[in-house]
Amino acid sequence: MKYLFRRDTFFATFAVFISMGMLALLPLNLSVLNPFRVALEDFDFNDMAYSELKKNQETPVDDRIVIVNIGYSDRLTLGRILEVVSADSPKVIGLDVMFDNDKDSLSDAFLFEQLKATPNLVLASKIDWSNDQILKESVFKDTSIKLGFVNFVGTQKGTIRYFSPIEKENNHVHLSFASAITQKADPHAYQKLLDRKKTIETINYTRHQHKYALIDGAQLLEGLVVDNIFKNKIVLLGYVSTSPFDIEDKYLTPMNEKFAGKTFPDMNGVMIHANIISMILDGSYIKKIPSWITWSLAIILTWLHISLFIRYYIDEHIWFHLVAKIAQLISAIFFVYLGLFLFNRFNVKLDMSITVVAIILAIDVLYFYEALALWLHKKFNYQTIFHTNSHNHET
Amino acid sequence: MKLNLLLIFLFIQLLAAGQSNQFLIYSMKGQVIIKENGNETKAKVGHLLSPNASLEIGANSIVTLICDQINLFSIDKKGKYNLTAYTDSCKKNYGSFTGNYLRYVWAQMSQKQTSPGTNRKLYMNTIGAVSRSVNNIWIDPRLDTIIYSDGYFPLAWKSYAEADRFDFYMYDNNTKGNVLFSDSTSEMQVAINTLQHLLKPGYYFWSAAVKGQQNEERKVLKIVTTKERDQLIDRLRNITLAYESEAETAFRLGFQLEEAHYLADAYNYYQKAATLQPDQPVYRQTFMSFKKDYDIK
Repeated sequence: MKYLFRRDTFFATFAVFISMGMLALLPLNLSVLNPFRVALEDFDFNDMAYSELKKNQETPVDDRIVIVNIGYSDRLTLGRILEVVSADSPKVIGLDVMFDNDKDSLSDAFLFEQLKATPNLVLASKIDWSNDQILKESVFKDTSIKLGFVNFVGTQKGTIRYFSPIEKENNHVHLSFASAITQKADPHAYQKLLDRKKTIETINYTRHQHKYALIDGAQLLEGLVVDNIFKNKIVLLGYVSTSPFDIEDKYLTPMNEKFAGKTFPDMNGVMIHANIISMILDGSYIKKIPSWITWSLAIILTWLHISLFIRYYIDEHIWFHLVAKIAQLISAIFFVYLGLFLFNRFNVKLDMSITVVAIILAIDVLYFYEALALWLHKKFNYQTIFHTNSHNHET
Repeated sequence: MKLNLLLIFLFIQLLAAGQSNQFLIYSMKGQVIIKENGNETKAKVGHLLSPNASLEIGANSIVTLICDQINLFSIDKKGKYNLTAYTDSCKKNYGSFTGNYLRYVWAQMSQKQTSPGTNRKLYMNTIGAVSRSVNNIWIDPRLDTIIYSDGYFPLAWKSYAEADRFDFYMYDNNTKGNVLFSDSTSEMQVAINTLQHLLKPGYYFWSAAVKGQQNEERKVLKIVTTKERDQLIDRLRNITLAYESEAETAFRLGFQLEEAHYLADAYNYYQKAATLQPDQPVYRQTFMSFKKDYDIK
């Protein structure tokens, strides 16, 4: 407390953030550092909540959603699967398949008729912002077919953590696949999603593959599935593979057993859509702490640490290094754990990395600040505690 | 920063020091004997030599060597030559090294950092759906761009599906545009010279599909005048290299024209090289491979 409200404590704290800003502005992007950059750019502390704290391991099966594995079905078979599923009066059917061009005209015609005849269908489309016409539809275009874009938000081949609920293009509004499905299945939940007015949402992954009812498309056509299984359900038709070596339509998610380093993709696209739909239906969104709170917290905690460091630096210098290193270590572990705890328990995403970096930089910046303050004192008679309470370096 | 640059420099030096030079006999005339590891053999074009090898050049003989795929030099005087004495000829000519290096540093240091949170549109390239539109037609990527003036050359494709007929299209645009020409064929190729009367100099885009299906993949066909093509061949022919026989010149032109996407002309020159020197297996094999790769009948 002795040095808490001293001018030098404030200025040293300020210097820490100035240093961080300068480091961030330095556009160093050398190829030789790529391994480190690549390793770190896809890393998020909160992913550890899934693998280390077993976040959402106990989430029950979501019986509102049924997934049909289409396997390697051709268009004719897909049309037949659609016919069987829609006969069971599901709430919504989401077809997570892209049809980019024409194939066999007979099977195309059959599938197109099924698509048009299926009520409450949402068909996959994709958004391409690099193109003039941003919405890329399937070849089966009909105004009666509702579209939903299946793009996720994430780095190429990186972990999928976000999705965009809607995209606006001039006067057009394009809904994501999950948004379009929930709009039909639960308009109230959909409205809550819109009311949040977020351009991107963090996906709250709650369920692995085995937490959704999974029906094999081939077995369905052979009549090996009980009646009424799709009645009043959200049915997603997509490709599902349990083999770790089959990475078709499979992506890395925070639920991966390995939260860093090289690993196999762990979740099929249709399962990610299912997780997003579950999140929207439950309203269990990830609450991201606003940046201004994150920065305020970082400034306050750094200020407290600086005052502690100055106290030991000046008054008990012999203990300074030991106390400072221990304080840095304990703080780093505690704040990382705090972030994980909030994310795991309350779905609150608090980015403590700024605080941790500031505390780690604090000691080196303090050395620099002391030298600067003493120089200013000598030149301009700047009053500083480092001069009046100079520590004995020989102790 | 200085430390980083120093480390990069040392790394490059380390890589350079770790490579030993290799020589390849590019062309020869007369009597040339190779002495390597105590063995003595008659030199042939295409022979790969280590720096420990030595050459014995006969009277009125000449050999041209390529060092490390970079530099070309000839030895045309009678005598014995140890190749270690020619390692200086392997030194790379970096040209505008400083300029390239500065451009590299600039490119490395001027990339902006973004994240999904700040610019989601840049990060919406992951498509969470399986595709059921796998194209049944495969066109060799080597046919991505063809520059053509005259002569026989086929635009060929392969089909994954069992199909009797295929549709061939020629467009005036890479993505949309008008169909300039279309044909239905039972063959999996169309010879360019059969279309030539339809095409004036300029860019065209072609595609092929199983009949009744579509294929969005389009390949580039650039038509040039014979004058333009001949000027290029003259320039390539007049590049001052070391000694070359007529077959060697034809083979080099074939290679350079293939690299420059003049595939019909490359075919002619590979054929010429193989005809002029039929005992040279490299020429014969290259010609046969070229025919096979591009489905030339």
